[in-house]
Formats: sequence, C-alpha cells, structure tokens
Amino acid sequence: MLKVDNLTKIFGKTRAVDDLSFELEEGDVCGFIGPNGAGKTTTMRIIATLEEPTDGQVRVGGESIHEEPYRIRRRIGFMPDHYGTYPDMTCRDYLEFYARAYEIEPKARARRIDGIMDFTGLGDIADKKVEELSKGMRQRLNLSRALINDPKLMVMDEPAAGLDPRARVELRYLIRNLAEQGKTVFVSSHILTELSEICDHMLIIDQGRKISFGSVEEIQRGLREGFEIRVRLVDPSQVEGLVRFLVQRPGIQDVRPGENGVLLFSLRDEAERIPALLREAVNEGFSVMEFRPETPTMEDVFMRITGQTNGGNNGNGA
Amino acid sequence: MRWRLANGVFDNAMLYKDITQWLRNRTFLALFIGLLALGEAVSAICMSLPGEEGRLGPVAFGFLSATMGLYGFVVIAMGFMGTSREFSNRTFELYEIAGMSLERMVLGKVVSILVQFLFGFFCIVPFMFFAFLLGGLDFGLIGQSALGMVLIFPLIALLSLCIALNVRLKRVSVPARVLLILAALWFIPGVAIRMAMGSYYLAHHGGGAWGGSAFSLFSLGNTDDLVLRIALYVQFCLWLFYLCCNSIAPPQDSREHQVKFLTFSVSATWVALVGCSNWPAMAPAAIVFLFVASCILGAILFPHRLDPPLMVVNRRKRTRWLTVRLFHYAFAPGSMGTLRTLFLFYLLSVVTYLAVTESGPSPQELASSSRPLQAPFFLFLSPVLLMPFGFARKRYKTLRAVTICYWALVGVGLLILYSIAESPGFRRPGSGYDGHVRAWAALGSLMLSPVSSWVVGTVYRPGFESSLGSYRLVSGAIGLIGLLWIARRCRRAERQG
Ligand SMILES: Nc1ncnc2c1ncn2[C@@H]1O[C@H](COP(=O)(O)OP(=O)(O)OP(=O)(O)O)[C@@H](O)[C@H]1O
Ligand SMILES: [Mg+2]
Repeated sequence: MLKVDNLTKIFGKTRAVDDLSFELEEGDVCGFIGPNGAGKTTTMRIIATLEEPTDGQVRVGGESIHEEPYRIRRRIGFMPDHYGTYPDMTCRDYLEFYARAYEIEPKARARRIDGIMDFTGLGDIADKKVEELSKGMRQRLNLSRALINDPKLMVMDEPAAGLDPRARVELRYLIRNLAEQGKTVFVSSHILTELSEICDHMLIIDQGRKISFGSVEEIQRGLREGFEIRVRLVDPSQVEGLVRFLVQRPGIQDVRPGENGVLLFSLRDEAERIPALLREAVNEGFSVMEFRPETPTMEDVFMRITGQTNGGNNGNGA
Repeated sequence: MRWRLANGVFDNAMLYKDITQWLRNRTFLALFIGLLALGEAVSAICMSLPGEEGRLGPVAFGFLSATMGLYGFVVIAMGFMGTSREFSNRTFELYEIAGMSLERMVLGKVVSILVQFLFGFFCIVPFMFFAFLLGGLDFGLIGQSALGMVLIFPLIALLSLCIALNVRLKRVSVPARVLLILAALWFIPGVAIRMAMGSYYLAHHGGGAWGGSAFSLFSLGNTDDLVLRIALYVQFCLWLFYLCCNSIAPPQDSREHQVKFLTFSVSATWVALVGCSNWPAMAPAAIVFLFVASCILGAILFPHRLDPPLMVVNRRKRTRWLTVRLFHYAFAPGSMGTLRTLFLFYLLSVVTYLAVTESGPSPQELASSSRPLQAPFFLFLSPVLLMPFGFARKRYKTLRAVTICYWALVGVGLLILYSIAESPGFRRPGSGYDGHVRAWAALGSLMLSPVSSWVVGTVYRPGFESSLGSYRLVSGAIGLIGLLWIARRCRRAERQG
C-alpha cells in the first residue's frame, strides 16, 4: 500500500529525512515514533505530496508521488498537526466544504457526512461553530475531514497531542476501528507507549534516520538487546567473587556491583540462558537471595537509543 | 468539458465556503442594508433639493458611484484579509491535499468576491438610473460607467488576490494595516472619481497615451478593434488568474507555462492593438511593454530550476495534440523554457522594430523602438559575471537578486556618470574634453544596464541612431546564445550534484 524507498529531504543544511525506506501492507497500523525534530512531520508531508523529496521515491498503491500526486491525494487521508478553522462556519458546513473540495457527488455527500459524523461522534455538535470547538472536538473534526474521501491510507501526524486521557482512549479505539475497515494507518507520535497497544508495526526514527522497523514484538525483542539482571547476595563479601565469576562468562556485560550485596549486569542472550546461569552461580557457592531479570520498558529502550545517537553525534562534533 | 467548467464554478468548494461565511457574517448584512439605505437617502435628498434642472443628476450619480467604489473596496479588502487568513491558518495545504486544483481554488475565490460585488452593484444600479431621471445625465454615460465598473472590478479583485497570494501574510500586521488604510485613502477617491466620471470621460479627455489607451478599452465608440480589445482584456484577466495559481503552486506542479504564454500573448495582442489603432504615435507604448515584459520575465524566470518538473513532463507526454505539445515545449517551466519564451519575445521585437522602420519615423523613434531587442543581452550580462563562481550556478535566488541589483546599481551609477558628463561645466568648450567622455558615457549607459539604457535612450541623441538598431539586434542574439550557454553550464553543475 505504502512503499518508501531511500527517501531523503534536505532543508538547507539539515537532513530532515535521511535515506528512509520501509513498506506497509494493506490493513497495517504502523506507529511512527521519534523525538522532536526527528523528521516525522516532514516524512508525512512528503507522503501526502505536500513536500517534494530531495531524493527517493514514495509509492502509494503503486503510484508515485512524483507522477500522480493528484491521484494519490484522492486516495489518502492526511491529518496534519494543525487545524484549519474558519470563522462563521459550523461543523457540518466545514465537512460539506471539504466534501465539495474532494468532488464527491452531490447526491452522496449528505449520506457520507452523516456516516462520518456518527463514526467520530460529532453528531451532537454538528451545528456548533468550528471556532468554538475544544481541542478534542477539533481533533475529531480534523479526523472527519481526513476520512471524507474514504481513504485507503490514513496518515495522521500526532493525533493524540493535547488530548486528555479519555480522549486518547477514544482515539485509539477509532484508529483500531479504521484498521478493521481495512484501511492502512500510519500514525506518528513521540510517545511510544501510546501506540504500542494499537499498532502492529513500528517505525522508529531519529535525526531522519531509520532506527528500526518491524512488528511490535520484533522491535521489542530487537531493541532490548538482552536483559538487565539484578542479583542480591546474602553475604556482601561474596560480591567481588561473583564479579570475577560473571566476567568470565560469555554474553555478560556491564557488571556493576552495588551496595548491600546487590549487583547489576546485562545479559545479551536468549531468555533460556537465565536459569542455567543461576544454577551455575548457586553451584559455585554464591548465596543468591534474589535473581531478577528486568525487561526494560519500550520507553527505556527508546530513551537509550535516541540518547545514544545524540550522544554519538555530540562526541563526533567535539 | 463544459460540464466540468460549470461544475468548477457552481459546485466550487471555495465559493461555497466563502459565501457561507459571508452569509453567516452579520457585519456584511449590516453593510448591505446600510448601502441600500444610503442609496435611498441620497435619492430622497436629491429629489427634495431645489436646484437647477440637470445639476442634481450628476451630483447624485457621482455620490452613488463613490459609494459603489467604497463598497467594492471593502469587498476586496475583506477578500484580501480572508486570503491572508488562509495562509496564517495554513488551510491552503488542506485544499491541496483534497486534490482541489489550483484553478478551482483561485476561481472560487475570485467568483466569491465577484458575487459579493455584484450583489452590491445590483443594489446600487437601480438608484443610478433613478439619478438619470433627475436629468443632466447621458444615458450612454451611465451604461458605460456601469459596464466599466463591472469590467474593472474583476481586474482589481484579481490583482488584490494576486498580491495576497504572493505576500503570504502570516498575520495581518500593523504595517500591513497602515498600508491598507493608506491604500484606501489613495484608492477610494481615485476609484470613486474615475467611476463617477465614467470611463467615457477618461477616454476622451485625458490620461495621456497610457491612461487613455487603457481606458479606451472600455469605450464603445470605436468598434474597429473591438475583438482585439476584448481579447486583450480576457488575456489580461487570465494572466492575473494564472499568476495567482502559480503563486500557490507547489514546485512539482507549477503554472509557469500558462503565465509565460499569457505574458507573451498579452504583449503580442497589445502590440497588435496599438498597431491597429494609432501606430506611429502610440508605438512607444507597445515598445515599453515589450521591453519591460521581457526583462521582468527573464529576470524572474530564467534563473530557475532547469528542467520542468516530472509531473509537467508526464502531462506533456500524455497529450496527443500537436499544438498543446508545442505550447508545452515553447513555454515549459524552468530556465530552458524561459529561454524559448525569450526567443519568441525577441522575434516579436524584431517584427515590431521592422514595423516601426516601415512607417518611416524620426531617428529618435527608430532608436527607441529597437530597445526590446536588447533585453536578452541585459539578462545575460550579470549572470555571466557570476558563472566562474561555483556557488552561483545552483543558487537561483542569488542569481535573480544579483541580476536585479546589478541592473539597479549599475544603471543608477551610469546615469550619474552620464549626467556629470552632460553637465554644462563639463561641456565647456575650453575644458579639454571634446565629446569623447560624453560618447563613452552614453555608450556605456546604453549597453550595460536596462535602466540607464532606457533613460539615456529617451533624452540623448548620440548621433549613431541609425546603427543602434543593428547593434541591438546583434547584441540581443548574442544575449540569447549566452543565456543558452549559462543554462547548459548550470545544468552540468546540477548533474554533478
Ligand atoms: N520548512 C522547513 N524548513 C527548514 N527546516 C525544516 C522545515 N521543516 C522541518 N525542518 C527541519 O527538519 C527537521 C525535522 O522536522 P520535523 O518537523 O519533520 O520533525 P518532527 O519529527 O515532526 O518533530 P516534532 O515531534 O517536533 O513534530 C527539524 O530539524 C526541522 O528544523
Ligand atoms: Mg511534527
């Protein structure tokens, strides 16, 4: 449905998007994650044909953004991170206006608008002025507008920004519903947990470069790079010995002795090795009181990855 | 096709939106009622005034015309503000995503402004004919000024839209407001007076060659070249229209070819119109137009991305019609296309020059009529100086800015030099200069910048008027070849990355 190849966008001296490639199938829900300034909005604007890439190709349903931007526009629903509001217009007028802009047949318009208002829950406020809407309502209106041409691909730029928790839950529900209708959804956020529940794919970028792309499980597995294990010994004097013991084992890194017989290390290996490691340690005579593998949350991983790339660059610059 | 056009006008989303907003806006309603009340009041006062027969009519008429002008101004100003707001809200993007074509957007905007204007117009017109009943007015005059209003208004509306779309105010700031008020102060009396007096008056009594010919467009007296006039009017409207489209066009999908084509065809029609009406006397008006049009077109559109965007190329490939393909080729977006357009301008200038030569003018007329021939040379002059520097080959904005700055600075410098050389102190017989300095200053001014060339050409008689034409013919050709070379060079730089 969406195929992005070696996409690059350069603004003056900034490489906003740098050699980005990925592909989405029909019905996929893909989360697009990255910190501020990572290039999410730029990528989405290029997909929506609002911006011309410096290099690379994007195909939506097999058609290229370079050759058929008008056909692509009619096929996608783009929800930008800003709203266009107008004075003196009601929600219904607003949708009616966009229905005309999409050149929807006059006969089909009213039915389409009613259907969408039902779906997004705008029915009660159809006659309210657009200017007077709250943020959550505006976001619904924004979504309704993007849905008016019954798009096959939805591109949503930070739809959850500024919503309260309840509205977020509702938004997630709406997105899942869209996916069930067979639409491909490409949705960005800088908060990872917000999307991990509803997405089946994730694309993580930083400074315009792809950091990882795959199904949510793959990413969680791939990103974790093993486990963080916390060991606590009854006898604190044994810690030094344990350090020596661990350092000799393969796949163990970053051994950090702490206070009161506590010791932390990371294991870059499969989960199956954890019980074996514990058995070996006990057999060696260490008085293990606690042996707890901790899986880092997606959030931790994300922080670490983006932190690393930033740190790396700073290092190079200095 | 016809269905699509009708749909574009009547089922236009932009029109729907603007009219909905307009109808829901209370202040506008108040304005209407005020306008009607005003018309009525003026008529009532004029009726009750004891005056000489035949004087009240013109007074009432003038007043009503002024009101109409004011109303038109308000409509245009509101259109301008509304358009600026579309930029500050970034809603134009949303229309783009909706796949609305640029033509539809601009058409909707223009039609909505026109609808608002016509509404007011039909409120006022009945009172105007009532003013006729008061006496002292020519029925033809009323008809003509009404027609004039209806014809002028779309031009002004398009012009203001064009400005709004180009300036892209993020916010209607204080300076913009001040400017708008100043414009209103200058504009309202101007429009009011013109409209009150009617184009009829202007066409017959004043305005010089320019004003006169511009306004004679609307005078119905002379029907010989009516077709040409209508063609000119329509083309000019279309030109403004496509200028509007082009200023909101994304880079992949420019309307540059339409703009170039219309610039060329407006120039050609204008020359033809001048040729038909009053050739030898009016020839300078045609020549100014050619010169200015080709210089500006070249300065803005020559330093530009070289190849037309892929979308435009594909559109060209898809058309089967030879004429459409030729049109796409001759006026293609990008600097190569501009070069072809400049070549057409050059040919048009040659034809004009030959036509002037035929009519046996004075040497000075001959000298000035060869000016447009030199336009490509001036366009070539400043970029060629920058070509050795790698940075300039890809920075089109720099090239553009340098061209214009070069013209202005060198032009002004040469003019100063020239006026010193021409000053009486300098020309005193005993001062040791025997005209060489003057001749060189004049020659430099003629050759190095269009600004000085223009001014010097009108005041100075260098004594080589007869050879000036051939010089300009040759330098224009050199300029065209030079521009081709520059375009090739830039393309090589672009390919190398
Ligand atoms: N029009 C532009 N001109 C110049 N630079 C730009 C432009 N748009 C974006 N950038 C730059 O490109 C980079 C990526 O910006 P982008 O808006 O795509 O990030 P983002 O991931 O959407 O960030 P956020 O989470 O803050 O919305 C930034 O460094 C930004 O400064
Ligand atoms: Mg963003």
